[in-house]
Amino acid sequence: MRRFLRDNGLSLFFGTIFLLAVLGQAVSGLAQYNQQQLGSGADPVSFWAYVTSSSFAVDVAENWQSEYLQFFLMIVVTVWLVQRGSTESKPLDETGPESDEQQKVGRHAKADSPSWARLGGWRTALYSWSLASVMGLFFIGSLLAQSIAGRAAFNAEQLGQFSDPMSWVGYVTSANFWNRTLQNWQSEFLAVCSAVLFSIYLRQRGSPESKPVGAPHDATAQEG
Amino acid sequence: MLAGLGVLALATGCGAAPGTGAVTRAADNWLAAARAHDAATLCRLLTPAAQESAVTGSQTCPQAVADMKLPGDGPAGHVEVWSDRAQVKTRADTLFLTKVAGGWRVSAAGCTARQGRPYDCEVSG
Repeated sequence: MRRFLRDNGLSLFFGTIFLLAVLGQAVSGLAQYNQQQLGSGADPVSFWAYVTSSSFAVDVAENWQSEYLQFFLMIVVTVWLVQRGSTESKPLDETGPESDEQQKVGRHAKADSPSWARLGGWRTALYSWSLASVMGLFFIGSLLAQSIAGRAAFNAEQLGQFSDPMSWVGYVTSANFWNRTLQNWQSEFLAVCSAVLFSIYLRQRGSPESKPVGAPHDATAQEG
Repeated sequence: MLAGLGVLALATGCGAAPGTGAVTRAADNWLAAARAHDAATLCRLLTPAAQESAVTGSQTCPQAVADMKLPGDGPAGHVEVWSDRAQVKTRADTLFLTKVAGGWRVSAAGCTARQGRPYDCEVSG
């Protein structure tokens, strides 16, 4: 048990604080939602009604899609773009998808390589892009969920203000949808840009997200 | 996890289908009362907030509503339900309804569309 906890510390820690944060979002969101309900002449709703509402779903989905977009872009863009001195970059002379030997695929696969890395053909091609593909699919799925739940929440607000509801196409081209989306995207892009640049000059002793404390600023792709 | 969110989005997003029967019945009751000029029933079918906004000074709700132009031409036509809000188009009016503890009540009636702005309504609240 102790070994399991040690071996899975990162995923258990982030999984736990994720659940706590979602619970906190639900509790605080319910309080805010019910304030608005009372203010607009409607009845307050229960906790369960709120966490299954379009209002809660759109708030969750809009953050998820931006996170998965961030990871998707980071994974794909770093294949070709590098940053001198950053731990987020690979070596400057290794841009591109790299050789089969470097990637240990096909006949260069090792005994402990995943079977789809060894098999070649479409399975190796698909497996070679599996990380970015899954992140991309999660991004598209979350964005779609945001558009559906967001439209429902927006239309409820529209009717509460005695205005017409919108079609799905109308909503995904509306200011509400893009304001929700872009305010999340800008913060993700800033965070990634900060991580790329700060890791050139700043250090965190013992962290794999940082170079060793004594590494030079122009050392690229070094992890502490 | 993502599948759960997708299901949740679809369940919450397809809000136009469920509850349309109750909304249509509430709208039909409203239209019938409007045709009969039954101000007391019209007041009873309004949300508490709409009742409050209808009255001015020492007027009662039925007195205030009796002076309003509230078309009763029916039946209820296109219905949209989103969460606890609904809109019903009738031949001569657009009704807005809100789900409160006692069921669906009319929150705005006698409404005229305005380009790019909320409807202008005889009674709303």
